[in-house]
Amino acid sequence: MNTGATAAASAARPGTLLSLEAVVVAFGGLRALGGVDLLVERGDRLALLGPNGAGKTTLFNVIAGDISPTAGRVVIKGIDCTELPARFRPRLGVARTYQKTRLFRGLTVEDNLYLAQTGRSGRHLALLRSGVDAEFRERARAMAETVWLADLVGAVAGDLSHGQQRQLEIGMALVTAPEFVMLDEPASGLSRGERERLVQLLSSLDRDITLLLIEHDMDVALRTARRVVVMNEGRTVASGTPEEIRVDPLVHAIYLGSETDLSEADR
Amino acid sequence: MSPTGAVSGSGPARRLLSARNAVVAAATALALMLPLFGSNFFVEFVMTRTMILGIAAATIVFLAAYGGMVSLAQYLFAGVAGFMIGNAAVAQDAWSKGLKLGWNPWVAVVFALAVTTAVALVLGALASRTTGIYFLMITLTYAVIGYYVFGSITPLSGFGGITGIDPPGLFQDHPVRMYLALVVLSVLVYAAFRAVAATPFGIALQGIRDDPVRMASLGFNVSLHRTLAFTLAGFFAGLAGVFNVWWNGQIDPTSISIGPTLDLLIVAVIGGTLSLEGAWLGAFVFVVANNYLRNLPLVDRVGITEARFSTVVGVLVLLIMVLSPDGLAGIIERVRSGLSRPGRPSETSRPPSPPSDAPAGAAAGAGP
Repeated sequence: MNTGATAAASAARPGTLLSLEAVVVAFGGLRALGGVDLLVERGDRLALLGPNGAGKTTLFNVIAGDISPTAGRVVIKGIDCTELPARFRPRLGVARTYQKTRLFRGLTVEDNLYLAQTGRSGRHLALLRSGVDAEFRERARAMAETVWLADLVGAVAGDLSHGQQRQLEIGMALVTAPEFVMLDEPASGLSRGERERLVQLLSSLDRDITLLLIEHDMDVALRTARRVVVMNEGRTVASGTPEEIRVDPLVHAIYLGSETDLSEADR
Repeated sequence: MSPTGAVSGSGPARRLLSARNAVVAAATALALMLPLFGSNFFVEFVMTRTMILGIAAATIVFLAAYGGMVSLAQYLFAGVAGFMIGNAAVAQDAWSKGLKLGWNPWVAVVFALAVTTAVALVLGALASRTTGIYFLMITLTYAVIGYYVFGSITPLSGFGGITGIDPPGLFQDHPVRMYLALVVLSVLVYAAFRAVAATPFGIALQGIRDDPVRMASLGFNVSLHRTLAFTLAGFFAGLAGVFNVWWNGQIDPTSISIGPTLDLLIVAVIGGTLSLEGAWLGAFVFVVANNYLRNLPLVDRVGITEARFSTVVGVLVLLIMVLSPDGLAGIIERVRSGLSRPGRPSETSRPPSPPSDAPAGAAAGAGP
């Protein structure tokens, strides 16, 4: 089953949160994305798989607005966002994390989680603290607890361990009360126990939250996602449920050399 | 390492009683009492110049420490304010260049600060999309342009400059009053910068310092924040410029050329570009070195005369860059934390940070 066929009749459908239409990104002569169509429904839990260089992160950056596509359209909640800068995404309820953690390393955990909320609210130019501020602080501390950083709210983010920084990174996306969360390799560099907690956290998210996930860890990806899209060389090549993807011969062929049998990665 | 605006989790009383504030309060008290026992030259020249340079350097530190922007345009803003005072306040019949509008000196102050702030807003908006070395180069360009603008537009000044600028009656022939006013103003500027750093705006500014890309993806207008911070710093630099021109009685384009521009950066570097207190500390060291170098015993024997001042300051800056990139304030901070917590590098205000692998290891142990 291919995502391309359904995408063309995109925007009007009420259940659709995100639709990409023939998105092309070219860096000079290199075509990082060669015409990607993708449709994401509200409440979807979608994982993007694919080898390094398949274009997953480029696709992410296009959706998040960090890159403008060379051709094609990005429609979020029925609004054409193709040329809209990244800073307008949070108003549409979009939140993302980065493959390499991007924290405010000189600020405390609480301030990081606080800042994540103020950007969307329009309060960030204020020179006075207000009641809304106390609410943000409250929510920041609650989120610190959710991502297991309750004891470290006063710690400077740059001093956290790698695993704790990943937790904070996810917390900063979730604290904005987003409708659409994009996670770029959230499990990279985590220990097995931390990955387990991550899967639990992602599974416990509100059912209405739409999740788009890039993940190299098959176990995390296939347990979190309800739908999987496989990318290779800038195109989507397969799509289906985790069970279908596990046994898809094409996917095996793409990953051949590293792991022939995907179900082995499940351990 | 970098200053954090918001001190989360401690009451206002505890915040006011911190060691940092105690030192600042003691230094302020000492500065206010100085006219009682200091020599005229020391109070009216050395310390007055220290306060003026300190306020101007603090605007560099504010932008660098909280906004991650190293600006070379701060002396230009002091100069713009000075030229505006010169044009507005000098009387019609005076024998000087400039527009000679002959306004009330306090009206001239309001006018000068308004013009300086507006210039800072426009220049800040132009520079706000750049960072790092490019921001430094753009602001250096501003400084050079400012020099030529005031030099070439002869109705405003010309290279000869404006002379005979009198301070308002309050300070005329009362240099000690001017010094005391500068001490009070220094404290106000210092407190204002620290207060701004703790506001939602200030915290967002620090977020932009740490990661502008993330800030944009969180919905912040990064260049607007940078522009507003730059404008605020320009306003305070203008305040320093007003007192500078009252104190000097004259201003010409050479006084805002590359030399003084770099001197101000050197002041900030000596003090430490990451702490506001360092600005005044750096200014003090700079002015004292400038005035008392020749009095040191034996220095003339090794060929260090006033003509060698730049060499000495250059060596001083080099030493500080090598020994403590955070300047004198960084050295003091290290000594302080070394004394208060022997054997433990972490600060008192922070919860003890666990060794970096411990939680990961513990979590791994708990996993399946």
